[in-house]
Amino acid sequence: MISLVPLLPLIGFLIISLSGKKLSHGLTSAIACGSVLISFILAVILFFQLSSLPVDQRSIEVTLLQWITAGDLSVNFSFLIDPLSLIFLMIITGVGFLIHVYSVGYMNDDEGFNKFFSYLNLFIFFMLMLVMGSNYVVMFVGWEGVGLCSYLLIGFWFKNTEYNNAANKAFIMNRIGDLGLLIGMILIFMQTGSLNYADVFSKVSSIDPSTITLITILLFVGAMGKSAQIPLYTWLPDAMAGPTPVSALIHAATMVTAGIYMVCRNNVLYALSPATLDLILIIGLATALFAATIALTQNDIKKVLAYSTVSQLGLMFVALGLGAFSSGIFHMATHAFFKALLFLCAGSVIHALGGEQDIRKMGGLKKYLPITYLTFFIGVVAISGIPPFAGFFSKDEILAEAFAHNPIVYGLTLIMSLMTSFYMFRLFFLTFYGKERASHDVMHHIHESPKSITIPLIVLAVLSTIGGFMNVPEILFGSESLSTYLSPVFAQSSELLTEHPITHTTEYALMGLVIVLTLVMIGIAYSMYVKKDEVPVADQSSTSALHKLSYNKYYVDEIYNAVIVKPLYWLSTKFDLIVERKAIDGVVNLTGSAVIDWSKVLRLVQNGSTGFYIFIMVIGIVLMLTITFIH
Amino acid sequence: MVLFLYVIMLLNLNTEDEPHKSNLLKFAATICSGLLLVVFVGSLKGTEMIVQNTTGTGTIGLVKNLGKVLFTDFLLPFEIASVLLLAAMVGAVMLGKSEKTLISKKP
Amino acid sequence: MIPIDYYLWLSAVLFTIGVLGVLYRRNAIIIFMCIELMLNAVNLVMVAFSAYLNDASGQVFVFFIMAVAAAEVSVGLAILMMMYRNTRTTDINVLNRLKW
Repeated sequence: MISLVPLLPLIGFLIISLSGKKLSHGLTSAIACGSVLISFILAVILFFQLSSLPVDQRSIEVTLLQWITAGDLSVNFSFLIDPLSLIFLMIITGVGFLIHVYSVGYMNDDEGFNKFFSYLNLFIFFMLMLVMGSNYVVMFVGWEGVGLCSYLLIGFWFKNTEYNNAANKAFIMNRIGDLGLLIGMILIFMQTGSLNYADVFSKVSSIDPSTITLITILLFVGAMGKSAQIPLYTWLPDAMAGPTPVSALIHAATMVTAGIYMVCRNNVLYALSPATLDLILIIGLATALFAATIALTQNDIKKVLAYSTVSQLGLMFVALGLGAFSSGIFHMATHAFFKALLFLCAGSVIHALGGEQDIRKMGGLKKYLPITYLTFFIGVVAISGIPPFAGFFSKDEILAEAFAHNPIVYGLTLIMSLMTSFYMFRLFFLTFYGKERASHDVMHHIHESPKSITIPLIVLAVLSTIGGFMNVPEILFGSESLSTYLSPVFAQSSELLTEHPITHTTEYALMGLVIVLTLVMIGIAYSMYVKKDEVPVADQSSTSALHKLSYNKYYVDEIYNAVIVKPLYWLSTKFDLIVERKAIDGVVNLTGSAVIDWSKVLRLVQNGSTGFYIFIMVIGIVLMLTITFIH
Repeated sequence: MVLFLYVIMLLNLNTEDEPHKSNLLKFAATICSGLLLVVFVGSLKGTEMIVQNTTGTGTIGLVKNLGKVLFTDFLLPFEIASVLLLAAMVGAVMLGKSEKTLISKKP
Repeated sequence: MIPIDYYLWLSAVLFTIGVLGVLYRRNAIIIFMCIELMLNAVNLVMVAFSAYLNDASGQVFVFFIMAVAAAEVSVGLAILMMMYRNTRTTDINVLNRLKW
């Protein structure tokens, strides 16, 4: 039954893609949504089954077939079900199902409807393979597969060259990360002789520490590419070229969390190399701050949310870098809920306004889109970390860990949190409050979105509200159910990491500080954008240097273009002219012309004169006799 | 040799000069034949040593003895040689017909 | 008895003269006659050895060589007749159409 979970979306993909345009919209959506729904139900059943087992036996490995046996390398196609993979399974299939339902309404008028659902199902299949694999190779198959599906879905409206370029950029940056992951895998195999998780984690003590550091750094490079950390993050904002459900599913809830999954799965290796953990902490922190400063000034709804995703991923990596693996997972889960919610709401707004994405042309939509307004509000409050919504519990856990580790880290993380709440509320106020800045035609056609769009919004809003109660900390009289559930997975590493306990009073004080400061930021945003009705300026007008720097994303794209892309283009042109045309073509043509020239000489032997032929015969006889008699 | 004489008679040649080959070919031909002769000389150097087998009777050249060997040990090549002669005869007759008779023979 | 190498030398010389004739001459009939000469040189060697070693198979082989020679001459002369009918000459260098 375990193998049915990824198999159903795969079958859905095959059926829809092979039938092409013959299926009606209703049938396609039934197959696609149905397969993911059944996978979700099966995942929930598996969850209950696993919970009935005693704690130390909660790890089932199911082998489907023997895949690769080459010398010392033996890799099976097998799945591993343990608490970590189950959490991810339920989130992927659950949120995935909601987004499938949403897409039925959102993509209804698109002519590539069937293609979209086939790609979505394929993506769910690969993502499930990624989290369910019991060895590095199956994970890598899923890893590459989600990169491929991301490319296919970002460039879904392929007739636009810019979208294709964005898809290319995403895929290429992912590949750069994948190279690091692959080299890390090779090193693991060289050191331990196996690629199976169970084997590797039991042999960890036999690898020398510098190699472990190298391996973990390389694996993290893979996570950098997939989860959009510095320096491989620029593909995520450009990936907003794809349809909004794609942004919600791939770039908020699932694919970008693959890096988190991988680091958590390898927690033993990371616990053994503190240097890498510090590196992860620094990069996560830098990414979180960097992206938050860019998000402060962006004017496209989806771009703000994209930079917010990058920033929140940085926060998750901060959690991992502190050694608080279950906190990272908790924040990943709550982030999946409210970020998907925010993206889907943004999609609803865009759909209602007929394609408008610039918030300077929105405003006053509160009375036209009531459900969207309410759910967007819940999402924004959740991400800002106001109790009792989901974001509060997960962020607070990370902040507490950061304070216990190092007050400077806490300070920077706090600043990032405050910036998050500020720009999210800025987005919220500019979209739904104030004067109606949209054009008259757009306002004329405006309407609330259909049920297939609003129902997933409502469900996700409910999840964002109650999701935090998964892991209420002890000081608030909770039971920390998620951390307890995940503890067998992180048991080996928690022995190796140093605990940094903080007193209860400190925790209360931190919580109170965060809440107060967040409310202050919301108040500032309110006064700026609602009371004073400040509207962000148009692109060409002059602004302060800092604003320009932030608005143009610190010119990182331009720097990359000049430093990396252009020299590569120059190099490949040179290669084309010299190596391809002169050397390789020259050799091939030389072979052909050599044959022609030789045959021109040889054909003169056939001159048709009988005397010449007799002459040659005699010479042949002489030669044969000579050779016979010499022997 | 009689065949040759018949053919020369049929060809009705005139006393024109027989065309000569170029000098280069003649020179090359001489060299070739010389080489051949050298090879023969080299191979025949040790043949004085061959001892005659004198134990036989003088009957080796008689046709009766030849016939005996021919029809017992070499029967198969004999029959095949006769078929060969038949084939050669048919081929020669076919080739020897004039074109007009060949064309009129066609239905 | 005459020592056998005299016979062998004679037939070697005959053979070489035949080769010379084939290479020198352009008339097709002369070339056929030189081929006959070469065949007869071989016959001579066969018979000499047959007499010397008291083995009858040498003479049988001569028998067959003569049969083959007769067949070959008849067909060859027929071809020569056709050539003469088409080209009115017996020069072998005329038939040089089968070139590149």
